[in-house]
Amino acid sequence: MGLLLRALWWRRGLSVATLIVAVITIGAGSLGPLYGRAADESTLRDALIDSAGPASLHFTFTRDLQTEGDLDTAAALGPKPGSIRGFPTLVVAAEAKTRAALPTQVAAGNSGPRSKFVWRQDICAHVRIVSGHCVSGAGQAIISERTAQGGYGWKPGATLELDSLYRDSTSGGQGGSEQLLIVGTYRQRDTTDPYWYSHDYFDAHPGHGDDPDTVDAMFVDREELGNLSKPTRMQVQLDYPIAPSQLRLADVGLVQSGVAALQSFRSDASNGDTFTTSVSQVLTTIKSQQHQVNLSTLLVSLQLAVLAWLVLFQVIADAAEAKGPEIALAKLRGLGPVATVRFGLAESVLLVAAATPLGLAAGWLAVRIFASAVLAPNTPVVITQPTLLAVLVALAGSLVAALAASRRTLQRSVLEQWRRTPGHRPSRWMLVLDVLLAAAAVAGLVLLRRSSTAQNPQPASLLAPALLVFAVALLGIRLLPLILRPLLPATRGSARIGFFLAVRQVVRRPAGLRLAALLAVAVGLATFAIAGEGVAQANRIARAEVEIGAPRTALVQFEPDHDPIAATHRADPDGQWAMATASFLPDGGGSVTGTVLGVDTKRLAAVGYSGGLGISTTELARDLLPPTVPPPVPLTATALRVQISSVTLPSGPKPSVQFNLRRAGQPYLTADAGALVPGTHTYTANVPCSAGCTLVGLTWNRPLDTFGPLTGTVTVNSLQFQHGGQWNPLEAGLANGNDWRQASQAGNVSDQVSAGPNGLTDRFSADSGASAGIAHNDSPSPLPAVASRQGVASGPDVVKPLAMTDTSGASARYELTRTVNVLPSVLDQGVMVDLAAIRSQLPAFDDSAQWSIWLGPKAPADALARLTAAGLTVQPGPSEAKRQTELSRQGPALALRLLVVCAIAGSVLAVGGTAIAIAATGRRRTFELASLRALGIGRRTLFTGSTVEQLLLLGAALVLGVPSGYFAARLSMPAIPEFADATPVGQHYAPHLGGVLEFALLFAVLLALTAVVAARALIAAAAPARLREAE
Amino acid sequence: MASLQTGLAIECRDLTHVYELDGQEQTALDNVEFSVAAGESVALLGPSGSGKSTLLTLLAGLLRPTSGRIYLGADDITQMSEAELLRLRGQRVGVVVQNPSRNLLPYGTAEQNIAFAQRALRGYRRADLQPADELLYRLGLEELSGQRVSAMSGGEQQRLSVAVGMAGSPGLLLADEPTSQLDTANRDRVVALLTRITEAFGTTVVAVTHDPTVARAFGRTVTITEGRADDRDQHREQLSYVTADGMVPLPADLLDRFPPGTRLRVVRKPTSVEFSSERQDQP
Repeated sequence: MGLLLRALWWRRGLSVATLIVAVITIGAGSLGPLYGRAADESTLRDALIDSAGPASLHFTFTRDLQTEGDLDTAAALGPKPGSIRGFPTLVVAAEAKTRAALPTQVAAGNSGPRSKFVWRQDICAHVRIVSGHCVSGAGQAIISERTAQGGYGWKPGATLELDSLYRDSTSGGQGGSEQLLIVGTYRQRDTTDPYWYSHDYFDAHPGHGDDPDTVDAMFVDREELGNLSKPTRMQVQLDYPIAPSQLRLADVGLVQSGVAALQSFRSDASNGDTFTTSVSQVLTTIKSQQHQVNLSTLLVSLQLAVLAWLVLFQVIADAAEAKGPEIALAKLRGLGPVATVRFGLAESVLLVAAATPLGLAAGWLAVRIFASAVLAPNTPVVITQPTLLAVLVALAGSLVAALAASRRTLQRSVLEQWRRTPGHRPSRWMLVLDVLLAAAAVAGLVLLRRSSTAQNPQPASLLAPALLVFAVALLGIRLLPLILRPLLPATRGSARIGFFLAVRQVVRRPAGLRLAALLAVAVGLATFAIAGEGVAQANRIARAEVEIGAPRTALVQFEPDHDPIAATHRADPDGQWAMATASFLPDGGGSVTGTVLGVDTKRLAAVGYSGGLGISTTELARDLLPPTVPPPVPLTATALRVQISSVTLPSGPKPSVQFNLRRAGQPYLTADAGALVPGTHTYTANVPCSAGCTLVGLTWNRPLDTFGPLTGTVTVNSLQFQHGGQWNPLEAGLANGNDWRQASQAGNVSDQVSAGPNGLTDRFSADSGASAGIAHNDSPSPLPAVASRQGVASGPDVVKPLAMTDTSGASARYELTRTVNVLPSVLDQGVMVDLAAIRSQLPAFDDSAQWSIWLGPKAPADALARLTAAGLTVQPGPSEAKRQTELSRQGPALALRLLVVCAIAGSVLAVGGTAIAIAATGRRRTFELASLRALGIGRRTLFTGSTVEQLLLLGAALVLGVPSGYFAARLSMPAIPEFADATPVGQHYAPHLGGVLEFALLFAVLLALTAVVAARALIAAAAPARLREAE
Repeated sequence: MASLQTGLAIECRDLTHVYELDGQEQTALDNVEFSVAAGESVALLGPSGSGKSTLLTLLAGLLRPTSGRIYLGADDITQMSEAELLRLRGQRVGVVVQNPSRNLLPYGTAEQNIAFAQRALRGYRRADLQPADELLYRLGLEELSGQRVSAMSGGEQQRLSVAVGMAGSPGLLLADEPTSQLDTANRDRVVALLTRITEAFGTTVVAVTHDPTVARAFGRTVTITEGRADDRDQHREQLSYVTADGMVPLPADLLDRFPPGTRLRVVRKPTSVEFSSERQDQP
């Protein structure tokens, strides 16, 4: 052992190089299982966090609560918290539907709006108290801020009387209807907090027609439940939030079996008991992603491991060559074959053995560092059995490399070893082998490309680039001597001896060519990885931009008298950074098959993204911009009256005059002014517009129980409004026929509207129970719309004209100005229209729509604060950057990013291996160079020759590797998966040259430095004194 | 004290070796008849390219002759397998080559080099292994004990090489130009060491040299010229040769009579050349 350690120290340069390369080889082998496992953990955690609500466990039990203990009994129906791994806590709630109003209102016969009476565990910790305080005992309630501003008279200090809930009188209580003192108003801290578990506590919306409004839930203290009469029927909710941070991959089986056991748990639909969870579906979805990650990671790490193995082979071969004289000495001293092999391999084997734990540690550390940058935070990196197995395989491979690399030196005879120049000549069979290998690589590449397409990408395609660059490198390097051979006569004739020597050396030196081929493969792989990741990153950005629509978004809640479009305009008067949007699903029966997205068209170009759409937002806005229409007719009034001359009226019951109005929070408001009478008459109705309304139109409302045709001709002579006791004319453009149009879009109604000297005339006809009427034309019809390919039904069965309907039955006509592949946010299943226009035509739009504010690139840092100051309740919504991060943490993206790191590391390793090989073979070359110096050739000339020689070889590797890697990216990227799920957003596959050229330039500098340093070292050692060493 | 082998006798019969290089044949040895008695010390003297190193290489079993026989003791080594030749070198034949870097492990100490050379014997003649320090002492090289080879001078390395060659107590020690890279003082020390081996150990020693001074130190000189050996009776009629620079080496025993610096009269005869001393009292 002492001699062995001395030998290692004697050749410490090569020993360190061998150790480092062996560590990298072992580390590369362990990389796959380590990273795959970590990526699986990250995928699991991301998916569980994204699906925290659905993945949690939800039980509901409908029970008659008799005693205080009944709630605890109901709560005990669920599993014990923590009994299923990953569900450590329980949130209990009890709710009952009710209506509530001030006692005076109840006495006047108004039961008030609908609400929910809710006790929910830890409620005070999950809401922000805006005024007053949170509930702390019986008889108290907190209401939402927007409810307090809703005009119902609810405010802190007021008492509410609840409908259908009664006080307990059996234990000496007051009895009677349940009453609650409002002690405070609340605002939700975070509407996306999984604590709320999609319970519809915040469903405030106006009632339709005579239906009462609905306001947000009222929350009470637990003590209040004891005050209720017994029994009181309540819905008991048990929510077990999932704790993603507590779950590891190893726990998934336990979770699935635990949840499966709950499926048959006390399910009694007739009693209203339910158990819902989507955790099994979430885990199943994760599994397919994990499989993709594992396979891709394995293929990537395999490529690095093979590259490292080849470099290790080369380094050990150089070390064995350096030990050649000692191996010859062993044979000279009569050591047998086994003893000679043991002696010859001892250093390599010891270094490989020492490298094994170091390589595992290095692999773990590399994955840890990489994981901290690309995976979910705090993702553990764990050494598992597959990791240890992979390390053993890498160790075995390294030992095989040691044996294979040392074979030639071990088999060489003593006399052959003593010869100064090696007798080895390149075999023609090596050329045949190279051609066969290249052909096999191309065949493999073709097979992979055929099995994997853009529509069905496969992880195995990750091997395709390696095969291509391997084939190109193998054959290309073989061509180098042939290409340079014609230069020999030219260089011989010139005075530049350095170039002559360089060309000649490259033409005759096979060992250097193998090295250059290895380097070309490494460079090619790195180029592919950089180009491929560039393609993937561009596609991730495009997808995120299309899916989100703008750099940032904000989720919006607003009080009834606040218009979100107007509020956005107040916050951003110039329209440079904020745009209100709303998406809704039309009611069934219309031609829209997707989601309707309303946008503030004039702000779309400044705020929204164009990338990925295939059309700029400026063009999109142009396609959506409604034609110029007259401005709306606003009014502030307590009454309206209209003078109408009835030219002809239908026989039988006459239609009544109905004013159609719109106001903030109540887009559909009607006021009846009485039945039409022949002749010229004035028709008057009280209207609740003292805070402001907009006149929508007039309806000739069909009398009840009439179904036949309803025809007639009326002329609207004038309109007036009453405000402050005074009647004033209402300017509504009655003299301009273009300012008014038919109100109903239904096919069974016809209104021919025309303007004349006496006013606006309407020749109407309606049947099948419909009513005719006119609408002020301040909202265009048909609406210009842009649809994505599955957003609108097509085919001969589609009802024309195209229209979309809301839950009130109102419909809005639209006309497609363009069809695109995808639209922002709604992707391939949507229709985009102007928001203000659709809102004005569909009264129930606001009730059904989900509102958000898109914040553009120029949004200031305090954008949310500005929107809040304008009267909106906002919280941060999805952002393009966050979506990009999510996409870059999907399995395929993780594999590609790993490939970049591994490929660059591999190419640097290959350069290192090249430098080691140059140093190791330098000793033999120095005799040759010393002879030339003894003949009188100067140092400078020899330095030039050596440098040019290295540059020719290393440069050839770069010239072959970079283009083949780039071409591999163009060829392979369509077939390589980039996302874990399918997306309708179009992808582009042309690699950007920028990153590739940057890498090529940096690498060229590295290679040039290597060549210069190697040449200097060679020349420095080539002193003529070396020639004194005689045989 | 470990037992030693007795010296090995050498006999070469009709020994011929032809090198083939790039399709050309070059005869290095041409029907050489050569014999050495057990325990004898012999110098193989000849100019560069005469075939003396080839002969030594054949004796060491590192090369197989084109034709002829080589007997070491009773064994015909030309019929031995590679494994048998390895065992021969490990157990019975020690080799010292010209370049010390080919004789020694540069990173080892003197003792480690000797122990390395004894590895081949471990399975066979464990009892015969001389401890390294004892060997160094017996060869008068105790000052090298504990030193690393890389710290030794050229002469010290070559003397250690001789000791390493003797590590297995071989019956035959072959030395190829052991002094060619040394200065005069170191040369003499190495030569003295080699001759001491025959006296002290009874080992047959055959040394290749192109230096007549070195050759004179050995018991007998065999001249190799153009692949032919000649060891005729030196006392009556002997052969010499003219070197490239016009020198004529005298047989070793004549140097007593005609030491270096003696002026000789050269008389040309029709078919011969006669040398005589200028001094009248010397024939």
